[in-house]
Amino acid sequence: MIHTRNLQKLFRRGNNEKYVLRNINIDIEEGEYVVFAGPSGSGKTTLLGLLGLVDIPSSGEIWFREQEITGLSERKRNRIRRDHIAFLFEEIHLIDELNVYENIELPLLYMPDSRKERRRKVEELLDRFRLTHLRKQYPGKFGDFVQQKVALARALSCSPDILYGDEPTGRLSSGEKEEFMELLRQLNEEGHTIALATHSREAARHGQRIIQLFDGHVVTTSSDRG
Amino acid sequence: MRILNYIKISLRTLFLHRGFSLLTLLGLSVGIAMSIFVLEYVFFQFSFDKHFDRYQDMYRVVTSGNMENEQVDAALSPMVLASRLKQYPEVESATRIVDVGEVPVRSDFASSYESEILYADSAFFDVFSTSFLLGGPQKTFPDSSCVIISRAAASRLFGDRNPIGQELRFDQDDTYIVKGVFEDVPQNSHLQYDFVLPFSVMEQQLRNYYGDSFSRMIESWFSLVCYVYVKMEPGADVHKLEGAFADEIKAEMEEEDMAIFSGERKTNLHFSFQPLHHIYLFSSQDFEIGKTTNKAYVFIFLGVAFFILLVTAFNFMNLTTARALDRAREAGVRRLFGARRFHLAGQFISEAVLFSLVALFFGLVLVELLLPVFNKLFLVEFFDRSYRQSLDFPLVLTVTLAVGLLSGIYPAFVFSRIKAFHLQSGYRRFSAYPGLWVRGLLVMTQVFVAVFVSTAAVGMYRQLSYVNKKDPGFDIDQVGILERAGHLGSKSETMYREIENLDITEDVSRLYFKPGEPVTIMSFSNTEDSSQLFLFEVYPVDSSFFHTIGVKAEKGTEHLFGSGDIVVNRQAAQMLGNDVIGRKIYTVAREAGDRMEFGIQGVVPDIHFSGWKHSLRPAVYIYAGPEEKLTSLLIRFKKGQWPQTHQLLNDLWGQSKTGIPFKAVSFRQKNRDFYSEDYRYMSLAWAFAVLVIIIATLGMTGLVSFLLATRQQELYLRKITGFPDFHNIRILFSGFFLFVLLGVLMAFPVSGSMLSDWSQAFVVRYEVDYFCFVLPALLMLLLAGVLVFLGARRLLNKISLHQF
Repeated sequence: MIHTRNLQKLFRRGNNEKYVLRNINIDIEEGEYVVFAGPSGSGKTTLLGLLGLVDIPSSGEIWFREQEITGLSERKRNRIRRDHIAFLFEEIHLIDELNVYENIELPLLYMPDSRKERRRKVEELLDRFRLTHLRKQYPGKFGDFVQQKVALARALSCSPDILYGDEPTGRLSSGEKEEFMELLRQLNEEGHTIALATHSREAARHGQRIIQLFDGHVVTTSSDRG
Repeated sequence: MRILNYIKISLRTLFLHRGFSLLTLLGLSVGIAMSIFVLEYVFFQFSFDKHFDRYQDMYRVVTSGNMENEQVDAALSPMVLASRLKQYPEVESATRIVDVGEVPVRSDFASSYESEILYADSAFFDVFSTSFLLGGPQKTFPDSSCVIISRAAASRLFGDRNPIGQELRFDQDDTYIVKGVFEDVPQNSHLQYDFVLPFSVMEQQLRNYYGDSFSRMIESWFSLVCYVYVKMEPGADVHKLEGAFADEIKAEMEEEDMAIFSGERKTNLHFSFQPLHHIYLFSSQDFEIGKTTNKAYVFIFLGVAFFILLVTAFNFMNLTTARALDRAREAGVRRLFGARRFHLAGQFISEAVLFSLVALFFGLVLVELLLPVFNKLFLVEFFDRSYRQSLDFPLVLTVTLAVGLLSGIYPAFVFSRIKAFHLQSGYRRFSAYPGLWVRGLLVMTQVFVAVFVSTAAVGMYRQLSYVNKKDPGFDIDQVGILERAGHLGSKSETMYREIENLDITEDVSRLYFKPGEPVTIMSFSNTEDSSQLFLFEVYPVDSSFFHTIGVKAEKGTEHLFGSGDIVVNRQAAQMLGNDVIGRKIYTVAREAGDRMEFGIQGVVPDIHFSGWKHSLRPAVYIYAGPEEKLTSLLIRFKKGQWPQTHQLLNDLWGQSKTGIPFKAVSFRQKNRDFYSEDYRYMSLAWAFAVLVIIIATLGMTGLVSFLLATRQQELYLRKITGFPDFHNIRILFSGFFLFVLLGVLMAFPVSGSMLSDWSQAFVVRYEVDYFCFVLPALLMLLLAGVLVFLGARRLLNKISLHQF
């Protein structure tokens, strides 16, 4: 589904240059649950940004479903991201001025769906994540776990082909972490492709395959869950 | 559907961030309300005389050129002009007009004191399209005993009765029959009239006054005594007509000139056509008949409206982008989920427009509340029956949408640049420094406008105080004027005696001119053959005049004992040469019998009766005979006792039972009234200054909030490393103060030059000094300091490790 060839990312600040990612060759197949593990500064977040088309590589190729997407225009990358990709963040990033229902509906506003269709999809997600009773509440009132569930529902509202998560459990307590990872596991079992970046060992063990990064290089790849 | 989402978010933002919204809305509402007022006023100024049918074909004929080496630019024309112009096919109709001045008017039911009275030819109503409520123009002025009156005058004098056929008595005993009632003249007409009397009445009065020389006077090209208005045929070329007319009358004017001045050419006049709708705003003629204004004020106001809109929009930008971090996150999330740049730009612009619309509501409330104040300040009844009955809603909407769009542009530009990438990499870096410059420049502009307007207000105050305090050459604090005494008829002499006998008065004098209004200017010669001519202002006075105003002669005596006695002012004496006392001067006339002779009794200092906006001219004070028409009584009262004198005069006036309204004013007050328009604009400048300072303060609040939001981490780190708070604040806000200081410094030359231009209207000028600048500058710097101090203290007190 997603393939990279010799992917590199170079950051420049003044005269200083630093490779954050070097020669990354990875393949993520449909329905897989991949975890990018590694300490802070290993390049996990940058890699997710490149795979999720929010950032552009310095060199190398990224293929999405048999199409090379490396050199695409901002507009085309935007469309692919809108139609196929969703994100979760450690900082959650819900919009405080919108209630739970509206936050979940947000991505659908940029899709051609009818109002009725949007409502059906949002209601389904509210029901699935047991958020129906909170639909009119503003997210600022909730704890991080509920907020992250809302963010997950929002991510799924546009039926993405792949869900990227950048430390989505970083702000959760250990019990909440388990519960949230369980939600992701269930989604994966339902056929969603998931790629998660984390430095947490507990989180990492939920993945089918762990890609270990260190200083911008892929160090090892293991395929056992747990 | 996205637009609904934008509106929803905007409304939520408004309610969830109430404090912030209140500040934003306050700035926007004040800005919108002010702009509405100023623009309404400016449009009102431009609307003058455009309500007449075919106003583009209407002109006033004005006179310019030289008369005995004096430049003439008069709104007046000679009597003969109108009838001669009518002979041209391009001229559809022409009318002569003379302003009657103030007189008491009585009907059988009521009396009033009226000032909007004209003598006019019957063609008046052909030139000035008029809507008649009763009677009609076809039978206008069948004889010399009719009068046409306005609806308001009819209501004042007849109440609900039908005035047609009723009598009206003007002044003492001139009686006229009402033949028609016309709709009131709108406020935006330079020519205001409630009564139109037949011109033939005026001609008869002149005939009685001038006797044999009347026929020469009405045929003279040099006797500028009436106003001439013409209506041209559609499409007529006025410039061609001006040229043709000048050619036609050239020989006649030369002949008259030679006859008066013993074969010498001394006068060269020409007549030009002034478009009717330019008179109010652009005319700079002497002897205006009606309202005119200084066009500089209108353009200054247009500039002020533009600046207010700009400053208001800047304020919104500043306050919106002060919450940069929140808004950047929202923009980032939207980008991540597929929003394109124009989606975000559209969102921020629609939010600004929505805020403006909400602010419009509060703005309209402000307009309603402030309407009486502004009516008073602008001296315009905004939204009355005759001009406009309500706000111009297309204008209001245009202003609001303009503010909305202008306000939304910068936030739209800033936030639409955000990419999904910034969500990951952190938008703190994105939103901080590039914005500081733009925001700083916005605040600098606001401070500039605030200091400019407040400096202008302080400067105007200083200049007006200066001219008010400047010695006018007579005892201004001990002289009052009892106006309208001339209309008392035979009772005026009784009144004179009674005032003379009051303990509180020191002297009384009969006045035969109106202080502050143009006086007659006549040619005099110091030889019988008129070989050397002088133009002097002529003040007809009585023997107690100089004692009443507290002026003593520098040479000779100030006492005028009888007809033929004359006293000259210092300037006239200088023109006449050395040793003027005892010398004779003569008036200039075509016939030797019409010439008058005067003996100079003394030289008095220069006296400024008309304030410091008119240059002092050489003047003569002649002993007035019984043929002169009394205007008012001048009273010298004991120092500091004007209120008591006023009360006693009021009592005396009441006892005379004439029905004429009482009006007495101290000269100090009258002097102030000469600058009433300037005082009004000064009050407006103060009002604007306060509001612009409020807006600038909001703008600075926005910048301080932004700096605190983006640099709180730095502030915290400085604090925990032991830097004293004062030091931290100074380092953090040095940039901010730089912008404020730049705004202050930029305002100095601009307001200095504006004040200098404005004060050109005065003969004496107060030198613009540091005080005008220092006060507003200190105020802005102080406000900036307080805002920084309060903001920083709040942040430093609540700072905790959890935030990082």
